[in-house]
Amino acid sequence: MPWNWAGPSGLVAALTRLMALLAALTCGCFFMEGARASSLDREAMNVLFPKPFSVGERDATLPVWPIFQQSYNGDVLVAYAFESIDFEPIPGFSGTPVNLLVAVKPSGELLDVRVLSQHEPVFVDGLGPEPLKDFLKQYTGKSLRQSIKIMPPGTRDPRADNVAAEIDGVAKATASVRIINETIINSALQVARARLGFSKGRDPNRAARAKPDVFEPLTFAQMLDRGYIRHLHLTNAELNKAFAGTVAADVDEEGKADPNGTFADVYIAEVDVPIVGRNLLGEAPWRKLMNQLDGAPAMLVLSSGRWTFMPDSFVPGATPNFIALDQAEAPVAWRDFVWRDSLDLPVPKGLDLARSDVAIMRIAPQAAFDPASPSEFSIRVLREKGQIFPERVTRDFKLGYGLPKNLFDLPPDDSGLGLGSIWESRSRDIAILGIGLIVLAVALARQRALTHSPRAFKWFRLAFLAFTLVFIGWMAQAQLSIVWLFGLIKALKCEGSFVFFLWDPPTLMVTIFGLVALFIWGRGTFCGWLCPFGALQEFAGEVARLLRLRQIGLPQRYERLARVPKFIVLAVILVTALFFSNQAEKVAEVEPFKTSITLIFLRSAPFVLYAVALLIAGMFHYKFFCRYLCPLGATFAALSFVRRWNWIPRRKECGSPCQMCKVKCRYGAIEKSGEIVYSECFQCLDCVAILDNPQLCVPVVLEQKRARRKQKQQLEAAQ
Amino acid sequence: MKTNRRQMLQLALAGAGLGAAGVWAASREGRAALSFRRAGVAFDTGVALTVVGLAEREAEAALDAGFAEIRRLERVAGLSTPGSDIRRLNAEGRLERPDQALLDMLAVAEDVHSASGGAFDVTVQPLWIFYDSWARRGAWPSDDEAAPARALIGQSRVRFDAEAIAFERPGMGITLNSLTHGYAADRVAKILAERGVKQAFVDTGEMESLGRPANDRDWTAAVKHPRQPDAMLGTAPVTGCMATAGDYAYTWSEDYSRHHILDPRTGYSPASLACVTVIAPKAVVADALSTAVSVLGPDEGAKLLKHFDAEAYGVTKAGKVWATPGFPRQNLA
Repeated sequence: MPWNWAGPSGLVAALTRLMALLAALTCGCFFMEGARASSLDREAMNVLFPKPFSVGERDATLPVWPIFQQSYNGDVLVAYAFESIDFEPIPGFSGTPVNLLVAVKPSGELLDVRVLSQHEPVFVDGLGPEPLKDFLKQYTGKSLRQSIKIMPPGTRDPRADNVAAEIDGVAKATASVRIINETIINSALQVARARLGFSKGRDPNRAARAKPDVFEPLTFAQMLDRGYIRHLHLTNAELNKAFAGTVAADVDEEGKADPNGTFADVYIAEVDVPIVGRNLLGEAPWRKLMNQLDGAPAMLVLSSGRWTFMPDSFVPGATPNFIALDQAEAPVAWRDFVWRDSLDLPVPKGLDLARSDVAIMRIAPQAAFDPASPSEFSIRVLREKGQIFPERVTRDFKLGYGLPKNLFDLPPDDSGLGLGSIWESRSRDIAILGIGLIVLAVALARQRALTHSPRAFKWFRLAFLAFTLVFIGWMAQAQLSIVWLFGLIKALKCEGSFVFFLWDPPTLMVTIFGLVALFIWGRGTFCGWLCPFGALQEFAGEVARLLRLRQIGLPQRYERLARVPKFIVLAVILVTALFFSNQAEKVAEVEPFKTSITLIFLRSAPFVLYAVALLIAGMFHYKFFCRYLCPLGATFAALSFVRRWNWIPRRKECGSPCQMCKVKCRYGAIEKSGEIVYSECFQCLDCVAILDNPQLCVPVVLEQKRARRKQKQQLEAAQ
Repeated sequence: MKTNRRQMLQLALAGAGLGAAGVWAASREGRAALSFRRAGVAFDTGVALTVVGLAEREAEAALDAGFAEIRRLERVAGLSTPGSDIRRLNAEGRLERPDQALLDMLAVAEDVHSASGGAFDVTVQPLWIFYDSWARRGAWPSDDEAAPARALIGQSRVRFDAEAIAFERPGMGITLNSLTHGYAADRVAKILAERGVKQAFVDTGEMESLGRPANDRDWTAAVKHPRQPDAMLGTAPVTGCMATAGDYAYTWSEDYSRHHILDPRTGYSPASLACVTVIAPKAVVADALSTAVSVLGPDEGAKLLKHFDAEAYGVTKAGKVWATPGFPRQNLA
């Protein structure tokens, strides 16, 4: 029975220790200064906004500073400036929110976005702060009324979508720049709503977009049935009833003569939606219209009957006076688009297009009209009584309009953090990684079958390590790092939010897998199989083996001592993270992960030299960094007491007298006594392979020898 | 009545720092004494304080004190400040132990109300809200529809003393927006003077000056053109208190026929003057008079001004300039 159950009391004790550790970390956090308080005072603001700007008195209720510019007729308010941390502290990868200075103009345009403080690992030393500065420069002049999309560098198509502003992302910092983008947009929108009168809850970034490919030919009647076209019909009698009791009750002689006659006959349809517009207008005119609309939504209004929305006073191109559109109880700004082409579709009997008024109303993009939500169309009927000073009486008639949601790409519904899009955009990585992790889990769970053929197993292991290095590390950028631990610590702290983990799905998946495996197999699953730098070292070790480099071994007592430094490194990093959090990223450079994996060695010479030196050290002493220095490995090792199973099978001969596995273990994780030091075990399965191999496992070999001798003796005796 | 809202902010900011032209020029020319200036946004408009003749530290401290008072008054009388005293009063119809500022302003409102024959009335607020809600929907109510809101007007139905301010009818509300800017100017000027400031220019939306600017000329203010957002009609010296009311500051119709100043007697916006600038011994009085004269028009307005020992300069909606004889209009059209 190779899997020894440690017993329930062991589990309780282990969990208690884990809790104590977490509690200790949390308590330590309270000593940290409040990192969320805004940092700028008047003097600092004066430095950031020198002449010709002048920094106004800080707002009474919001932490924003009005920025003025003197002009010939006084101080002109040019912007509101604020620290993003006061509005939208989204923790970045280090767990500390990025703090940006954002200045938004009264028009809703961004005047300036600058970094005040950031601890994003990739921008601290990796790529350096320059790419971030360049990235932020792109925000100047972008309007909050547009939706802003981050494109992978070089893929921006200036002609693609004129409504959304596209800006270049930063390679290797995909998640960081998204966090920064969310920080900017959400904080600026909060200020815009509070100080610039932006509508609440109707965020242009969150409006639905019509799916371009949903189309089928429909008749006018079918579209009416489906509600794509809505119809408002009023008879003379209905109208008179509405005006009953007012001074204008009796002015309509024509209507009284024909009570059942049509007074108003109005149709509306949202023509920017393909299935509606293409059917109504015909393919070519519709495409032409869409080009000219420039991405804005638009309503076609058609009226026949005695009432029209285009009376003699109608001004082409202006906001119409007698029709209105409301959404969420607020008026929607629209204008006549001066489009008078007729319909390209047979209309119902009784509707005479020649005697109708047709117009298209373009809805202003900044109205943030959401086509997937219901809206209310209304017509206004005006009656006048008297000649010189006529008394005016108006009545409104309403018509609901709403299109089914399946015609639209709905915005991600994700509590406003924009996380949905990141999961979607990385679905390919998530799928490949998911498959890889399942394969690994199944393989490790069936370790005996896996190691049955040592040759095949070796190829499997090398292949998986290649996957870890190339896909998990370089492509999916899911190298776990001690920096994540900082994030976790801060999340446990008062300002805690675990949300930042969700920004990087592959890293989250590897983390969860590694933590779950910690309970089952110990630290080895992550360190030996999923750490890209570990894999890189393993390949360095293979190269050394091919080159027949002489390995420098350590006697067992030094080996034990040599395990200690990584815990010291971890302690130093933890203390730094707790008490000198802005230095933490520098100390974390002990890890060569950023250099070798995140940036694929595209970094300044000292960092590259350090990483290469560690790899060379690993060629002479197997996995030197992992075993002796790695703070993340130390973390896993320290937590490996939660492991529940002694999954490496042992024989009574292991250790005494057999030292086979101990000698063969390249990690020094087997004691002379034959005992496995699981906290140092990288789960390479070499010893498992040996134990099951009748040619390698010494006790088995001896046993077989004995058996053969016995058989021989028996045979000889029989002869 | 005058009610400034966020939408007018840009407009107001362009013009409300009326004194800036002069102040700015002064601060550049004069080398006699240093001038310290700080702008901000308060009462839904641009405000700016300038102090002259102090060392930097004292000057900054004086500016801090001035802005602290502005912020305090916002919390007391600001209609757009969440949780302000006046908002609680309007919501509940009663306010216990009101701030002295409210009592002071209501006392001025009483004076101007009775002297103007009811042309000035702080209880137009419900009608203002009613109109604004229609205008936001792109509509306008008929007289019948507006009648209930109009019926809530009546300054005599506001009781106030040190114990409480109370309305006699449910649904009533008051606006002090035609007093607060001026009152704030008075208060800030007083606070600056108490701190030993002898030369200062206070612009809280309305203006008040102390002493002279660094160049020893007069403080001057630009008078805004009522129809051209960035243009001015000229400048006027500010040697005391000055306040301006204009239909352009917040209008419900493009032709400025329906705007934020309401005649409490008719419920309509007055039709005669487009803008009025008033000089009076106190800024709070100038502020109230600018609104009252807008309602009354030139002829009756002149009588009211005389009663309060004030002068005014205005432009009618037809574009005709009107002024009382004592108004310093040498640099004005």
